[in-house]
Amino acid sequence: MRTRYLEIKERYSPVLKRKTGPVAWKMVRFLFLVGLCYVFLFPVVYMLTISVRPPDVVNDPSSVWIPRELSLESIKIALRLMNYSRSFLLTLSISLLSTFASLISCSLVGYGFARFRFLGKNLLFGLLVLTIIIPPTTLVFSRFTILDSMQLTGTPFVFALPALFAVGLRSGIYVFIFRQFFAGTPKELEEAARIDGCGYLKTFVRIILPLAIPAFVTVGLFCFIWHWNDFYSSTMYFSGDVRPLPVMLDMLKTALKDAQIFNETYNTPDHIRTYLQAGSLFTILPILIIYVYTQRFFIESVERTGIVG
Amino acid sequence: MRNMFRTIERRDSFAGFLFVSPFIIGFVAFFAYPIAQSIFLIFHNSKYAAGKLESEFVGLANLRYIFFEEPHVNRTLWTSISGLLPQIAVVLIASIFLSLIINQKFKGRTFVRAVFFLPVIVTSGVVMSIIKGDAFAASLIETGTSSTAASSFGLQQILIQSGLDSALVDFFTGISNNLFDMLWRTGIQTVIFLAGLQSIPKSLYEASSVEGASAWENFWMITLPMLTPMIMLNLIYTVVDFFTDSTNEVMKLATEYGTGSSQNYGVMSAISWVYFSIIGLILMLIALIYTQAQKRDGRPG
Repeated sequence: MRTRYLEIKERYSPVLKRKTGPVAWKMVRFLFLVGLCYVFLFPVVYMLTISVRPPDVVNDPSSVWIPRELSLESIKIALRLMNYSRSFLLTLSISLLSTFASLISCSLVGYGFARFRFLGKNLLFGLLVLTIIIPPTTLVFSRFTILDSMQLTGTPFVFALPALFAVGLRSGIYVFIFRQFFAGTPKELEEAARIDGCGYLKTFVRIILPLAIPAFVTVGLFCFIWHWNDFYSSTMYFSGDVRPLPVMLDMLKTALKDAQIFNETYNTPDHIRTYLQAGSLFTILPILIIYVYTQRFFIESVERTGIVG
Repeated sequence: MRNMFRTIERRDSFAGFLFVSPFIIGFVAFFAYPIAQSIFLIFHNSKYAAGKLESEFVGLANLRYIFFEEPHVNRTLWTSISGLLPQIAVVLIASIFLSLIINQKFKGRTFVRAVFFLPVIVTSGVVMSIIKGDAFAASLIETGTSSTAASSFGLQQILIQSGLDSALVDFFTGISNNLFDMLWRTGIQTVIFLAGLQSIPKSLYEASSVEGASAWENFWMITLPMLTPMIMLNLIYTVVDFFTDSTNEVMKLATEYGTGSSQNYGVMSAISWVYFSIIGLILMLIALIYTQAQKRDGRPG
């Protein structure tokens, strides 16, 4: 049997080794890749190229992508109008605290759902799915009143506190990812640890956590980015001059269209355009930088987590 | 207490309960109560001032208002839900295609992968709405804007003349006008499909190539059937993502009622619950079809 298999493998090895298709397919694929890369890179490159131009000549038809002159004027104005440094710190603290809280709570809950059998487990899991599919508009007002009565509105804890109890922004999805991951890891290690007298929590911290690093990376990155980009809940929870960056960006949009803010010369459509692109760029720049550094690790861990098991 | 921990089973079940307990507390405090309150709000006229909620019972008045008096709700609900179908189809097909491509080996694969996952990173609706609001950018990416409406019009003419039903023609031009937007919604779906592709055993493909199957046959006979659970998951994710998105028209309408000067929380809750129940029905229908199909295939659901 074994020799027969080797024989076949030998005979068809050119077929098995062939990883890439014929030339025509390669060319079609190349065209697709170029086109799709254009679609996905377009907004980022566009923001970059527009925001470094002097606003007066932004419409210069002789240069579409590569600016003829460079100027930091629009970036400076956009950053000043957005209260950038303080809004940045606020957004960063929201994302960091909530990610930290989500990683702790969702990994514990996910582990509980993956490994143990207890009364009402299916009901609880059904409720977890419900938290994923219910639209935020049904909840946001009541949550606002609760958090307001705790005097937490305007602080990062409006996101971190629910996240600590696995009901924060998209927490259900994180629990789901952790559950799938833990369900796929072998049970024997934990059983051995338990027999050696290791408690439940200690088993989790000592044995499970080191194995689950890919899942933690995936969830951590998703969580950080989703909190960074959150707009809907942030509009409800924050007020005043310093708000999360997406909200500041939206306010910049309305403020610029409001002629009161600037004198006439600064309020031309070209100026507005440049400032807006500069604002957009700096809203997503931090996560873009993080992504550039973590993307290899992230993509690998997505593949290894096998999110859906 | 000692009695409770007598058997390992009981201890295990208690430990499981402890692990899940953060979620139970969180669900009661930040979920069950808000849900109950928002259902309560449907039937009341409420004002929120100085940390207090004052409510007055009005029966079904809010529901009557959104269906019969409010000018936008019915139309927005209809366009939003009828827009769901092409959206799902395009997003699913595109994300399967994207994941198949980046699952192959070629030069510069790392770069292409990093680029294809950009939508996962730049999911901020505000940034995307600014890009689309920029006339010059729009002229570069969209075929449906005023500057290039001719091309979309041309497509429409061709389709009409080839004898297609006008609803179908609208369907296709709708897709071609929103292609950029839809491709930008494929991030997570591509990630999920890619993870699914990685989990298909290589031995299946080896066996089939020994049998002389073509790549095309491999796709239909192995890849697609093995991806079925991920298709299901992505279907649900796409629907949920679509209607919980803050750029969704119905959500916007509801939010306007909640945040504007009117602060009509009753109407806001009524709109979101009507919308949610329609979407919930669609999700249940999807789940039902899926389980039925699995039963027919003789696989356990």
